[in-house]
Amino acid sequence: MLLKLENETLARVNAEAAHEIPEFGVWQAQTPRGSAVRIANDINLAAEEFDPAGLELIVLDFPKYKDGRAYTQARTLRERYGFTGDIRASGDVLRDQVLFMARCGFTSFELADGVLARSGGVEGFEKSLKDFDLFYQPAVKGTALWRLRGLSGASLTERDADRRVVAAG
Amino acid sequence: MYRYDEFDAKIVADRVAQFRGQVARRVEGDITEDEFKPLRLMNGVYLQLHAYMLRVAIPYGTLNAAQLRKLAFIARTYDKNFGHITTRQNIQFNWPALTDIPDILDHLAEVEMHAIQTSGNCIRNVTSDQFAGAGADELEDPRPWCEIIRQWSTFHPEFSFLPRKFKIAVTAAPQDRAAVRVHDIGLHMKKNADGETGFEVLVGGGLGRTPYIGQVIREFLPKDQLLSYLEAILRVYNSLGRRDNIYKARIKILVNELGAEAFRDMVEAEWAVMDKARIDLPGDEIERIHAYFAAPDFENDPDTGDFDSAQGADKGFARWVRHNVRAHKQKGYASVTLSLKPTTMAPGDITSEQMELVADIAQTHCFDEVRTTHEQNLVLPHVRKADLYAIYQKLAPYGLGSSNAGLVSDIIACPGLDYCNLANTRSIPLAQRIQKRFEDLDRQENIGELKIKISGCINACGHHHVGHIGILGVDKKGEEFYQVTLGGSAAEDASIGEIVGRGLSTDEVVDAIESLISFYLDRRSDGERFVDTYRRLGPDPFKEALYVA
Repeated sequence: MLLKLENETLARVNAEAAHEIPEFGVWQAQTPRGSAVRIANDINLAAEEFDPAGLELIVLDFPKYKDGRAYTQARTLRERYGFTGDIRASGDVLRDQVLFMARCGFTSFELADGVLARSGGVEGFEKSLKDFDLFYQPAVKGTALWRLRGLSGASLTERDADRRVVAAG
Repeated sequence: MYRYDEFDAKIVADRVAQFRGQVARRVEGDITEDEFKPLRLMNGVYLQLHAYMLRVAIPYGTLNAAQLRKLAFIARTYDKNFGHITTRQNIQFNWPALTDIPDILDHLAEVEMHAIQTSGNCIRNVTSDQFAGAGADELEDPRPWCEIIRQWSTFHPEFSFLPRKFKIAVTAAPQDRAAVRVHDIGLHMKKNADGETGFEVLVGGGLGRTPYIGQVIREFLPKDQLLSYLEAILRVYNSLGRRDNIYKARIKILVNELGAEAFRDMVEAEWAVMDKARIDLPGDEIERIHAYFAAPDFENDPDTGDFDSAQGADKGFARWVRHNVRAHKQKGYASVTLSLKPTTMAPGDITSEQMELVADIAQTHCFDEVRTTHEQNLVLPHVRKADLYAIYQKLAPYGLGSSNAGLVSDIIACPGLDYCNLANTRSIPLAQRIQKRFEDLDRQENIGELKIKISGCINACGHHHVGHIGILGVDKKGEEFYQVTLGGSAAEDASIGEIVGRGLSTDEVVDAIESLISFYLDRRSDGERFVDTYRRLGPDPFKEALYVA
């Protein structure tokens, strides 16, 4: 079960499951390298010389939802290595973490069996994605509040319009 | 103090709505208890021995009168008419019903308060010097930086599922009242050779099962680069901190396994490639936050009224002034510690009526400001000396006039087995027995500064490792025993206390503490505190004194 985030909405899509995608070591040995890779969460991307050229999909893992290493991996892929393709969260992916994931650069979410049914469906996930629309700190996605505050004199509603401009810029 | 703008208010309101939905889904059974646990923890809701406990954040220990009155209302309406000040300057309520908690959070939001990140494996409430903005010895008020850290760390998307909890403290005075050396990150504001103020950055301090003093990884960090540097530290920790063993998951273990230098190199490498300008606040935002912490409108050298004459006429007042009143940077003013350590209540407990009294006094006499302290007391930071005697007289009938700040009865104690499901032993009754034994105020005064800290288990919530006398409760075959450590300190001379021998039974322990103190009194040189004499003579003679009892 895969949900893809596009234009602020989540849609169910069909795709090959995470376990069918080659692991980091296998992918590195490929010639030419394939367009998808699965990176375990104990690989420290800060210590790797990583070139995402040619990659369209990177799958990161949450062995348990409490294990937050993949948040750092996703931000590193986006901000340090400039990866612009799809970053998929797999493993123990739950509704209440999906906003954190999206802010760190995840764009798709592979759910275990039964999760969607007890999460209020796709709508439930979308609701959690919108639990907050103001953020104190910058991340991959979402403008930091201090940038909005810098837009002088505007009220919350006026700045709401500006925020989309800032976010797009 | 910081006031919410419409943005801050909306974030807190959104959080309450989110949590209300999460509680409803839990009640419906759509979320398992295991999945719900971190969600409630990140909102300060614990499941304790008897009931849920709600821990409310008091960012860097600063409160106004309206907030204190609201806490009094919550204690009266949803709890048993009291709250408990914690060692992270927060307040916790021990008896709320889970289904009432969203409503309590709504009440808190009305006065710009919340329970965000008071628990869970995330960045916790940032703590500071209770005399910030008032102390004569500080370089500058550290609280604007605490507020900057509070905002940055709130719902940080990358650092909400860390290997373990993460605690940051900031101080700006040479005398460290915020225990920065026993925090995951300690920030000590200092001047460099060019006279600029910045941060000395310490990492890897902490108590718990494996206590460590933090190590300096940067002598001087320019102030405006604080957030990017913190982000670099947290990123290294989130990637490499151990997750296989909860007892080895704190950053102190990582720093000590790698070595402080290797850890620092990783942080600096991460920091070097980071887009700092995206993360660090621009000057106008730093100024905006500082403006909220501008000094109050002090009178210039106000008349001190009956301050001197009342000390001559009222010995109790004179004693209170000696121990609980402290020099202020502004002439004619003082800071006051309101002791929450009478013998009649658990250390740190405060009733609704006491909260309301303090709120009234703060509003009338203290620029609407109150502080909580990590030693589980309250502080009125800015009081005219002329008002002190009148304030003192109002406190006594409410049980808030104890003249014991920093003395043997000013004990830090964890909630212990009376409330906590981790504890091995009770802490509060032991604290009360020690307080009772040393009830005589002349005797306490003669003993001088002595910090006793009691933890009911190895998790060390009562900071026993850094007590001048630390007491750790251990369970031996179903019986409560107490292990004594000596020579610890959480201040600028931070050190971890040494275990001095076998555990003492409940019957032995108070006598043993008394004989330690008697030995100190016999052997001290002029002006020496207990801990100074201990450091001079070493553990052996104290050990002997402990076990002759």
